[in-house]
Amino acid sequence: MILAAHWSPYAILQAWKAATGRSPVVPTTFKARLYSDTADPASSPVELTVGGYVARTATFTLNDTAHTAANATDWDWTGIAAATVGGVAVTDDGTGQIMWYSSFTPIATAAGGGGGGGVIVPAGYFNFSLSAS
Amino acid sequence: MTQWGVTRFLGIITGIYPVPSHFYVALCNTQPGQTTNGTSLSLIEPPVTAASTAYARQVMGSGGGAWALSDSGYVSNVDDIDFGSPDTNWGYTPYYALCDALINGNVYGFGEFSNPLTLAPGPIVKLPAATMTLRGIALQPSIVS
Repeated sequence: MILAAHWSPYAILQAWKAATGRSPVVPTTFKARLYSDTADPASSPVELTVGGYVARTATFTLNDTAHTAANATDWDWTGIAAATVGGVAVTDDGTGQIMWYSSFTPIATAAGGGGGGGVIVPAGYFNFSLSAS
Repeated sequence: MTQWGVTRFLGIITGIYPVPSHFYVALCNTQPGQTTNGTSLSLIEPPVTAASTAYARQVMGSGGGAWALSDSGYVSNVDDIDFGSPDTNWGYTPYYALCDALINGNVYGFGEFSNPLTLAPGPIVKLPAATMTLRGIALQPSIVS
């Protein structure tokens, strides 16, 4: 499943600040997080708290042909306990605010570990862009 | 925005590219396109010849001294952008572009003046403060396969 991510209003503001140098501190570290129902920052998303779950460091890579940015590495949550997951988001590690998010019909995931299960977002699957028009 | 501008913008916000220290503003006689670069842009800028050297892209800094941020989430130029006085006919200039170099280089994006003028020798040409706005309303998700 490709996760086409939306920009949060916070990210849009940060983007203009960064692009024009208005902000002396551009977000440079990000965390990928899982949410139980939705990752939409306007809907008070609830981050997972199940055993084994921790936010993952997020880095990005650019596709110069498709003009998109996407996760550079796998976000691997295959070791977590059984959970319901309805959204993935990337937060600004400095403020904790959601930058980009993708919500979907909640999925009940089996416990990970040796028997499989959990959640993995492969590199390149969480991506976002902006219109060139 | 141009296609290059989109990728550059994404790279800046994700920490892959550094924040630009300068921008250059160009005037355009016809509309740039999404694949326009700084070299092809020069073909639609007012002419620079041996007899006419007055036109040049104008430098603009970065940071809060150069860009104002509105509560509505867009940024605009703090100061007037002064192109000086044309020494020849610069023609009808309904568009402007934001570039990364004085000559050639790349184009971040472009816009259209609400009151385009035909520029002839005489008055100084300026983009008044707060007239060049960059808005974030076109952001969108995308899908790759």
